[in-house]
This record gives sequence, C-alpha cells and structure tokens, in this order.
Amino acid sequence: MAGKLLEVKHLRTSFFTAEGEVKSVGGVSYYVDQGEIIAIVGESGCGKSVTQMSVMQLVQTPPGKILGGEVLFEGKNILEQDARSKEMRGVRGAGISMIFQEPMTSLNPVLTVGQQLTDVIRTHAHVSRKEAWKKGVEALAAVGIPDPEARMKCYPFEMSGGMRQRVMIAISVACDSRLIIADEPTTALDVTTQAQVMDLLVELVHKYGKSLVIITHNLGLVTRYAQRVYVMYAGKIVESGTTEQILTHPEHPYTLGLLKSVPRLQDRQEQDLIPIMGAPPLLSRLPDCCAFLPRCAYACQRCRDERAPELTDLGGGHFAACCRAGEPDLHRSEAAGMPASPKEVKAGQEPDSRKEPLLKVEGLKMYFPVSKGIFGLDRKTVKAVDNISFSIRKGETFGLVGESGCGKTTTGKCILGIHTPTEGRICYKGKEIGSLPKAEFAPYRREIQLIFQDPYSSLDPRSSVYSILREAVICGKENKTQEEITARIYELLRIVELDPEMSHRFPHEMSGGQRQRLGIARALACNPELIVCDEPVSALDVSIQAQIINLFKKIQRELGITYLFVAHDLAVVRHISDRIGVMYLGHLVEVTRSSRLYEHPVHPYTQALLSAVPVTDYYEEQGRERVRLAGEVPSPMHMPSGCPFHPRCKAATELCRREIPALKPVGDAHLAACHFAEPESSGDV
Amino acid sequence: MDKDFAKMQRDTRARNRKQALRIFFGRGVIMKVCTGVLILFLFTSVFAEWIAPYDPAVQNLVEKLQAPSAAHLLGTDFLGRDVFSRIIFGGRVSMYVSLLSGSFAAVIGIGLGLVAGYMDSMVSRGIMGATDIILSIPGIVFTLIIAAIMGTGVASLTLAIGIGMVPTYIRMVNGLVLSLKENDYITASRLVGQSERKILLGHLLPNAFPSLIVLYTINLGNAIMTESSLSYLGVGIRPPTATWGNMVSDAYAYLMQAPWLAIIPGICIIVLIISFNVVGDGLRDALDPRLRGKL
Amino acid sequence: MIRYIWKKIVTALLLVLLVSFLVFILMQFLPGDPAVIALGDSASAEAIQEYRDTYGLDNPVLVQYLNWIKGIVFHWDFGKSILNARNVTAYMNERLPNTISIGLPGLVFGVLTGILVGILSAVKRGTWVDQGLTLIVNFFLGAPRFLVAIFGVIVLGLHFHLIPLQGYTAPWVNFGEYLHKAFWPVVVNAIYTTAILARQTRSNMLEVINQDFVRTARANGLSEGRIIFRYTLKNALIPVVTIIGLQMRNIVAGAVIIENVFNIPGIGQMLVSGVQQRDYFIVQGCVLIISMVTVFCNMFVDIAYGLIDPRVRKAMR
Repeated sequence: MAGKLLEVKHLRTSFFTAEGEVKSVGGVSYYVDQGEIIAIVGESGCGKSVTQMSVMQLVQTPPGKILGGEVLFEGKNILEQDARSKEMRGVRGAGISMIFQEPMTSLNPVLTVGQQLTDVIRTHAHVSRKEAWKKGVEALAAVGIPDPEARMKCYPFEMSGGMRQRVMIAISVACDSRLIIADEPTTALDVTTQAQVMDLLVELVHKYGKSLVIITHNLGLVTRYAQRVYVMYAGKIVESGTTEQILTHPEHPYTLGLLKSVPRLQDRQEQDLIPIMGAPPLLSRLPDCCAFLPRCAYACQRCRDERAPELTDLGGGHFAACCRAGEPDLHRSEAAGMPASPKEVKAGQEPDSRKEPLLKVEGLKMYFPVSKGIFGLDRKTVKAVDNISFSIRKGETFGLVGESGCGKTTTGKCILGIHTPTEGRICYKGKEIGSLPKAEFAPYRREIQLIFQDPYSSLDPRSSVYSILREAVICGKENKTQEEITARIYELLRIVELDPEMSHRFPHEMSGGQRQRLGIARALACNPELIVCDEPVSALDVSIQAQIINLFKKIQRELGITYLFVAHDLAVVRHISDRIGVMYLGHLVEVTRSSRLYEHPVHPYTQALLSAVPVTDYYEEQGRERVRLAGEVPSPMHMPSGCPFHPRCKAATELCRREIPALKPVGDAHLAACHFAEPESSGDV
Repeated sequence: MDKDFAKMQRDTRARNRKQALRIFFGRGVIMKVCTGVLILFLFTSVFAEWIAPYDPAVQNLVEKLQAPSAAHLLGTDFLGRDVFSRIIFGGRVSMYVSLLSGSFAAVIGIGLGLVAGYMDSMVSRGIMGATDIILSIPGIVFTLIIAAIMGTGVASLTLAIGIGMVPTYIRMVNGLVLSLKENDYITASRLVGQSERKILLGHLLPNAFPSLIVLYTINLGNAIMTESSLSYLGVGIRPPTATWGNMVSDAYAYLMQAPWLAIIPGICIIVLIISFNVVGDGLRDALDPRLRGKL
Repeated sequence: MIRYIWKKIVTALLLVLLVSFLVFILMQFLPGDPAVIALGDSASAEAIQEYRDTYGLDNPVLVQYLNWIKGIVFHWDFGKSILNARNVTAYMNERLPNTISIGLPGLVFGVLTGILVGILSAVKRGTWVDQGLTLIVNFFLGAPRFLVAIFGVIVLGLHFHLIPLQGYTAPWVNFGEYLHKAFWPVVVNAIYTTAILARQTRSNMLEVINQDFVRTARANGLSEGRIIFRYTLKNALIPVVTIIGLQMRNIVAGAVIIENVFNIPGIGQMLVSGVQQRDYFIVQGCVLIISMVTVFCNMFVDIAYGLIDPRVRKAMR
C-alpha cells in the first residue's frame, strides 16, 4: 500500500469544563503503516486515550470538542464526517476497532456474547443472522477461545477477564478491521494472561496484516512488542522514534526520567529508583513554555524563555521536542542501565538469622464458605489459602507475589487479624496470635499495620490530615499532651515528606501520591514493627510510584521496620524485597532470596511468570526465550487435584495430579514446591 | 501550635461550607424560591397570632361564603370564618405536626437503623425482620391504624405519623450503614486500635450525614402529605381545629359555590411539600453530588 | 431455579402469617369494646357478656388469633362485622373487584407511562423536553392524591363537565358508564406511579448510558437507536422491575384515598369507614387482605426479576 494506513495531523481536542478549557490533545501528529505495531506511551492524564477517542470521534461532545486537525484513514479525512453519520460508523468497528482497558465492564452483561458479536457483524455487513452467527464462531475460534459454539451462548459474567478481552478482539477479527487500537489492553489482567492477550494481538497482526496501536504506560510492553514509539506528555508528543532509539538513547528528559524511575525486572535490588520529582501539570493551566519544565533536571534559561519546543528531527526517524535535544554532552546514555546515584546501604541490615523470626506462619489455611445450599448441605468452600508456611525476619522485606486469586491478600489479612484463620498458626514475636480473641489481641494491634492499595478509599473523606493522624496517635494511649501530639504529627509528616502546611487539608484536595504518603504516616503513627503493604503503588502513576517505593526503602533504613510486601508487579517487588514468596491458587510454590528468584527460578510457574513480564532493556528483551503458558488461572472455587499448577504445566505427570508437592529445599535458602525440582549441588555465585 | 491547626481546619471547613451553599443556590431560581417559601411558612407559623387578621375560630354566619376581598383576603368559609387566618393557623398545625413527627421518626429510625446496620447480631436481624413485617402493610394503612389507636388530636396524630414513618427510616438507614461499613477507612481505624463506638460516631455518622439530612427533609414533606390525607379522610385532626387537610374536606360540599375554599388550602399543601422536596434535592447535590439518583 | 421460586413462595407465606399476627395484635389496642359497639351504650351487662361469650372475646389473645387464622385458612372466613353481623368475607367479595377495577388499570397505565416518560427524559437529557417533564414529574411527586383528584374534579368536572363528581359503575355492569366514571380515579391512581417510575427510569437510563459497554457498542459502530434500545433499555429496566413491586403499596394507599373522594365502594372505603365506626373485624380483614396482596405482588416481582436478569438466572443453576 502506498500511503500510510492512518495518519493523524495536528489533532487538537479540548474539554470545556467549569475549571476552564482542558487542552487534552494539543496538536498531536503520528502515523501507522500497514502491518505495523506502534506504541503511544504516557502516564494517566497525558492525553493518549483522548487522542484515540478523537480519532474515532467518540469524544463526549459536550463538554469535549475536536478543535482541529486531520485524521487520514486509508487516505480519506474521517474527521470531516459527522460523528453520528453512517460513514463514520462504518469506520468504527470495520475500519478501526478499539479494545478498552476494563474487560469486566466492557461487555453488556445482559446480552450473550453471540448476540453482541452478531450485532456488530450485522451492522457492518448485510448478512443473515445465521451467517453472522457462523462468522462469530469463526472469530471466537481465531482468538483461541475453546469450544466457541458453546461460548456464543454464554453471558460475559460467565467468562474470565482474559476471555472477555479475547471476545473484544474477536469482534475486530469478525469485522476484518484494518487497524486495532488497544487502550491499556492488559492493565486489568493477570501477568500470564497479559502475555497471552498481547501474543494473540501480535499473531493477528502477522496473520491478517492488521496494524496495531498500543496505548500504555507500561514500558515493558513497549520493549517487547512495539516497532515504533511515541511518548506523550501533557497532551503533546515529546519524543518519537523506533523502539531501539527510544530505549537505548532517549533524548527527551521526560523519557529519560521515565526509564530511570520505572522499576525493572533486570535491576539489582540495591539500585535506587530515580523518581521524577513533582507531578504532571493540570491540562487546564498549561504554560506557554515547555510543559515539562518544572520537573526537568536539564532545564536551562532557554527553556524558560522560549515557547514550547517543536519536535526536532534527530535523524533516522527519531524526533524529540526539547530545545537541548541532540546535545552530546548531557550523559544521556545512562538511561540504558546504570543509575546516577551511589548505591545506598541499608543501616544495620543483614537480618539477624540467628534470632527468632519476627513473624512465622505455619500451615496457614483460610477457607471461605460460599453457598450454604439448602439446609446446610452442599456447602462449597473457597480455599483461598491452603497450607502455607514462611517466616519473616526482623528488618527484612518479604515480598509475596502471585496473580489474582492466589491468596496473597488473604494471607496479609490473616496476619493483620482481619480474618481468623481456619487452621494454622501465626506466630508473632514467638507468640501465637492467629486465633486470639479480640481482647487478648489488643496489645499487638498497633504493632502490625496495613498500607492499603487504594489511597483514596482508605482515608475518611470527612477527616482532615490532622485528625486522621491524631486518631492514630491517640489510640496509642500513651497519655500525650496536646503539644506532644502535635509534635508527633509534625514528625510523622516529615518522615513521609509531606508539608506540615497540609495538615488542615482533606483527602480530596490531595494527589494520589500525597494520599498514599498520608496512609503510610498513619501506619507509622502506631510505631509498628511489621507493616503489611497491600499493592501500595499499583494505583499510582508510574512517575509517582518511584517516589513512594523510595520512601518505603528510606523508612525501612531509618526505622528498621519489617515489611510484608504483597504485589503482582514483579519488577516492583524485585526492587524492594529481600526475599520473595511466589503464590499460586493458595499455595506457596517457591520461596527464596530476591536476586536468586529472578536469576534461577526453579518452579515451572515462577519461570512462566517471569517469562511473561517483559524486560525494559531492548537488547536483553530481544534475546529472551519465552515460556508460553496455556490456559488461564483457574478460579479458586475449582481447585485442581494434586499440584495446583499441573493442568498448565508442561512437565506435569501422573504424580503431579495425585499429590500436592511440599515446599522443600532446592538450594541455599531456596524452597520450591515441585516434585521435580532438583536440589542444586552448589549454591549460587 | 495546635491552635493554628485548629484555625486552619476551621477555615477549610468554612470554605467547604461556602462552596456547598454556592452549589445549593446555584441550582437556579426554583431553589431560592422554595427555600424562601419554607422560611415564609415557618415564620408565619411561629408568629401566627400577630399575622393573622382574625381569630380562625370565630364564626360569622352573615358573611359566609364570601369571595376574596379587601376585608377577607382569601374570602370566608361556610361558617363565616376568615379563610386567610385559618390558612395561617392551619399552616402552623401542619408545620408542627410534620416537624415533630419527622424529628421523632428520625431519632428513632436513625438510631435503630444504625444499630441494625452496624452490629451483626440477633438484635439487628430482629430489628430488620420486624421492619420487613411492618413494611408489608402499606404505609398509609399502618398509619391509619396507629392513628385510630392513638385517638384524635394533634398530639396523638403527630405520634401516629411519626411511628408510621419509622420503618421506612430504619430500612433506608440500614442500607446506608451497610454500604458505608465496607469502606477501607473504617477498617483502617480499627487497625490503629480505635474502639467500635468511636468509629461509629466519628467516622460512620459524619459520612452518613448528607444522606440523613436529605432523608429527613424529604420525609418532612411526606409527613405533611400523610397528615393532610388523614385529616381529609376524617381520621386525622378533626374540625374545628383548622388544618389544611380538613379544610379541603369541609370544602368539598361547597365545590360548586365556592371552589376557592378547596383550592387555596390545596395549593398551600402542594407548595409546601414540593418546597421540602426541592430543598431536599438541593441539599443532596450540595452535600454530596455522588448521591444523585440514589436518594 | 425451582428452588429459588420455592424459597420466595415460602418466605412470602411466612411473611403473611407474621403480618396477620401483627395486625391482630394491633387490633387489640384499638379503643372500645366490640360488644358495646355492637349492642350500643345502653345494653345490659348480661347482653354484653353474652355477646362476649358468643364471639369468644374473653379467650386469651393467642386463642382468639388462632381461631381467626383457622377460619381464614380453612374456610376463607374473615369473621363477622361487629355492627351488622354480616360476613366480612361477603363484604370483601363485593368490594375487592371494584378496588381492582380501579387499581389495576391505574398500575398498568402508571407503569407504562412512567417508563415511557423516563426514557424520553433520559434520551432528550438537558433539553427543554427533559426539563419540562422533570418539572411535571416533581410536581406530581409532591401533590397528594386527594388534591389531584379534587382539582381534577373542579377543572374537568365542574368547568368542562367531562367527568362526574362522584359515583362508580362496575365495568361488568355497564362498560361505557364505567369508562366515564372511572376515568379520573384511574388517572389519579396512575399519576403517582407514573412520577415515581419516570424518575427511576430516567436515573437508571442515565447511569447505564455512561457505562463502559455502551462506549464499546459505540466504538464498534452501532447506531444510536440500536444502542438505546438494545444496550441501554434492557439494562436500565431490570432494576426498575423491583420498583414496580413497591408500587403496590402506593396503589393501595391510593385506593384508600381515591375511593373516599369518589365514593367508590371498594376495600379502601370499607377500611376507612370500618376505622371510623370501630368495626374491628372489618378493619382486620381489610388490612390482612391488603397486606396479602402487597406481599404476593412483591413475591411475583422478585420471581420475575430472577427470571429476567441473566446473572440471577444463571447463578441458580
């Protein structure tokens, strides 16, 4: 094909709200060739989603408005069509199809999959209902859904997230669209499912010659799948080029900052993340000069005086919108690997392995009843946690990773005393606390604290910062005077790097990062020994995540607190944990030191998990071997017999089906629950 | 130093309150009118003796059934009593009944609803069970029976209407508490060692406050509706005590000769109820816009 | 699914039983002695005692209750009126059909109109159509039924002579006259239901229209019409079904008032006059029948909801 499949020129879209004009898309130009995979990268609020919605003319028209620009699809400017016209609707779905982030809510819950598929098929092609049904079945088969005939009659709520996402992709296959726009297609999915869905998209590109636009904030996805990248910030494209160019020698300070601040799987644990200070600007109050100026480490006088820079051609298709782009003396080559700051050493660390561990979990089981049946018969239980044991030493960080339904959050809640374990012991400082009644547990209550995943819902919207912290300080019953209380609150705010001026503010007046800092301050107010961190950074922007992760590390260095870090993001966990436990369907399948896990994973599930996460190093990622996992994570309500992983394991045998493997040593401080894990003769180097 | 914080907190609260007021009155003319109406009715109820030109009970058969005129702003009824004065005193009765019964129902209903929602015990299940049973009897029928038990008279009717509104209150507050209870900040307070009682009073109640205020205001309107309906049926407040409801029922016989006798009190009833509803809607939007459509 | 339906039926029956107990207990608190009411103030002490013996009024409350229940369950006999010793059941048989002839059309029209108005309001959101309809809906939500009835009588009856002031003819006696006389009562009955359903439908539609799956449908090129009817309506109406069940309470409340305004010989009128005349067995029977109707209507609606919403339906398997 001669011309480009999609060419966007100077697209501008704004939203007119009570706060003024929000310039979500401020002049964006990009293109996609046929058969190409490009990525548009940026954080939330940078305008990448609004850009795509503008291309499809799906922007809600009051309050939004497309102010200008051209969108040339297959040569024709589709912006000239009215949003509701037949031509535009013809493009949507049949020319360009879009996949959204939340598979759980993106399909109509009261219509079957078949009805929704055939609806779309018959909108774009005049075929009979039978024909459309057949096409639908073919499309479902093409995206790898087993038993497609039966699935057509299913309702979306009967399917898992990964399957629903496949259904969305099937619509694109059925209508034979030329371009697929995937807006954060994998953010809401499990790690292994993410890899499957992305692999499917790439397969379709190769098989049918479609083009793919990936909208994401995940640099790993970009590294593995994209051929070219556009980086967006504050509604504009600030850098573009091939993936190799962007990852190995980025020229825009924002791209540079992102690469340095994102935790990567290949990093060593002692490396510190270098966050981008500050927060993204409000799109309703964009300055005339460069929008990144307040956060830029390379700012100069020219940046302050001149207007926002245009994209400079750096050769070879590499463009950057920075007035200092291309200057050779600015140490930009660091981005590829090494940090600029010296390694920090943890104060007084080397968790003392001779002493009794701070927390010891033995044979923990947590079963939840699901349906009571009639008169108590036919009771089903969900075995959320099934016989796990591990220990945490004082001052260390123990990471607990796994996908949805693996039981890691439930484990954390049992340790906190929110659930009473069905069986098993939880020993804190040598004393069994799991089954203590409330009154006896009270003295330990404040020593084990929790940091919530959602910083917004964990703060009372009607309480100010001051009163939230005051409550936490006062419940210590240490009989403080008013001055002491206030001094303590001051101190806590200082530790979490919040301005004491903020103490009269309310949660809705604070940003996500600030709220999470407040949550941490509240936990610290109790002088805890152990803090359970339940996905504390997954709800935050990428550039803020690094700030909070560094804060966690700093607090541990200064105060010697022990963490149980529960997360699904392997790179984050790698960065912060000393030891890591991998969970699958309520079982602990591997436990070892953080570095060892990533270098020598033993359990097949761990290997698959690590393989599914892309590495943000261009050359390393290209050379990796992939372990591809079939199927999806089963629901904890239908536990397989024997080893929970055996249905998906390539090396499964009859033994695996019969017996649940126990966690046994396979190396130096390395445990794995697999019948075929071999103890290594020598420790790792 | 703590005083500075307290002052800053007060300033922020004041700022939030001003913003809420702005949203409240920003909704347009209707809101301002309705608020004005409520204040007017309240005012005339309190100062009825000074505002009403005549004694509402004084009969003057010579001047009966006169149309509105300069002497009698709204005319006279079939016994020669001044309609305007009867409207004012009747308004006082209506306001009195609705405010008292509404507040009574609110206190008991909210109290029981909180208990039923927050504790998870036999007591709460008992309360909800009893509420469900009572709610199987349609509201007006239930209130009718209670009114019959309590007898006629303003005080008894007030009590009866109040009792009749309690089950609905309990059910709504229970639902409200159940949903608020699940919030993370409640768990967070527990984790720092706060007592359940303080969590209920310090976290749950303040967050339930907007919904409760709206519920209260709209129920005041319902109380007026119930009172006027029952008085109309003759089961509520009986003549000669004037209330808008029984003024309408008395006027029914004279519809052809003097339709204004029925129309005027009727309009007053409708205006008052709608004002309560509109103000309640406005309060809901001002205090918590996320509730729109749910209350 | 059968289990689900069965559970609902059993719960409903249990509820009716408990309600009957509550009603009976409440009746005991009503002032006045039934014997005195029946025989008059000047009756002799012996006559009063004889009356009390005949009707078992001196038995313990529980025994009286059981007798009453037994009468209903086995003989469908609700007792005798105090004032004229006629069977309450006979009264009800006369009057219930009349109440239904006003109440049922009111419910049906109210629901249909309400849903239509709600859809219209939601689709034309923000325009003067929506604002006007919302204004009207809010007005009728705040206007007591008896006032709407009377104002209608004044305007349509006295001014335009379109409807009679009072009176009722049953549809099976003379359908034409029934239409003429029952028109306004049915409309008044329907209005409150219309207002409530309109508001709820509108709010549900607006909520659904902002959901993700509607965005997906649009992104796939479906036309606006298709989106409204297939992707919004069904989702929005499913919760509305439960509201319809709640309307039974409103219809009954309406019956009580409307029958009094228009002098319609129905259950509502029977109830009010029973209360005024202290005829307790009549009141008892009326309240019980009304409650039974309410409970069973709610039960049907619950079952219907389970059949319509595929999430509930499939969860039952």
